Amino acid sequence: MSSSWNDPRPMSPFTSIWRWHITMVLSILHRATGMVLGAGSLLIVVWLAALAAGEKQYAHMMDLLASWPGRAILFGFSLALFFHLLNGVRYLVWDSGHGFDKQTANRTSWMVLVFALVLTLGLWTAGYWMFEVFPGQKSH
Amino acid sequence: MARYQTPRAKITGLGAAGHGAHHYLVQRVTALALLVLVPLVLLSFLAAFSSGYEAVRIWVGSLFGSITLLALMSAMFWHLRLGVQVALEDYFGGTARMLLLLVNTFGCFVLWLIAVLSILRVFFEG
Ligand code: HEM
Repeated sequence: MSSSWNDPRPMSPFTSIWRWHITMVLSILHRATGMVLGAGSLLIVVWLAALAAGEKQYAHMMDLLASWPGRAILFGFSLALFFHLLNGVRYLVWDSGHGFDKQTANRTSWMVLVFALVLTLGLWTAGYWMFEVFPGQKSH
Repeated sequence: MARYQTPRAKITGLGAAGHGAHHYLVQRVTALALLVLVPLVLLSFLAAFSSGYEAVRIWVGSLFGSITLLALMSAMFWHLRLGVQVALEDYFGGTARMLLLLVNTFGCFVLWLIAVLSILRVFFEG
């Protein structure tokens, strides 16, 4: 990284001078999940292309997604998505000038973490028991 | 010489690119769009996935489904390009930065194109 760094402007203070705290963890997680979602967008595009290509290609894609590694990836993707979505709302509220004081920011940090987990588990519960999201592929 | 410069003097004239406010705004406008579109598409997919190939094609090929998906893909890849750009600018400088920024831009654009073409193909094939 630094070998090619030739921007003379000073960098913002980095992790070395900060004590770990919850708002910092969420800030880092927002960036990390943004990147994870970027990788996930690749999956969405491949899935759309398979759908457009035809029934055989689509079935193959769904088999991959329904496999255990496939499901694990989808689970991680959904968790990242819900976290990023909820934390994104937090950013937008801050931009409107609200909730940026220390107590509120700390409290909403934990709320985002808890609700991201709840929504993810809710989605998968609905997927499995209401919709059978992977029909006829449970035997794989 | 540099030793006697104040931090302010060090950065004066190096300048920002001048696109900061626009970048910031578009990141937020696309975030708002995603906030509506992502749950919408998630719920639709949940219902469509379970009914198999034909049902999914009918939803993606419908007027409502295709418009929602096209909007989602557009907002998503614009948002992604801006977001990744900021991260790259934070960690890379020089030639590496330029190359990675190009990869980011072209990558997002090509993925968006493939997504749009796939949706349109399903839409027009019915
Ligand atoms: C679902 C609704 C979403 C909302 C409400 C949302 C909100 C936001 C906001 C407000 C930011 C700016 C954060 C900042 O200023 O530091 C941001 C950054 C970002 N978002 Fe999203 N986003 C959403 C979905 C997505 C999706 C689907 C992707 C990927 C395809 C994505 C990728 C990113 C990336 C890469 C960043 C940059 C992270 C960084 O600079 O550290 N977001 N998001």
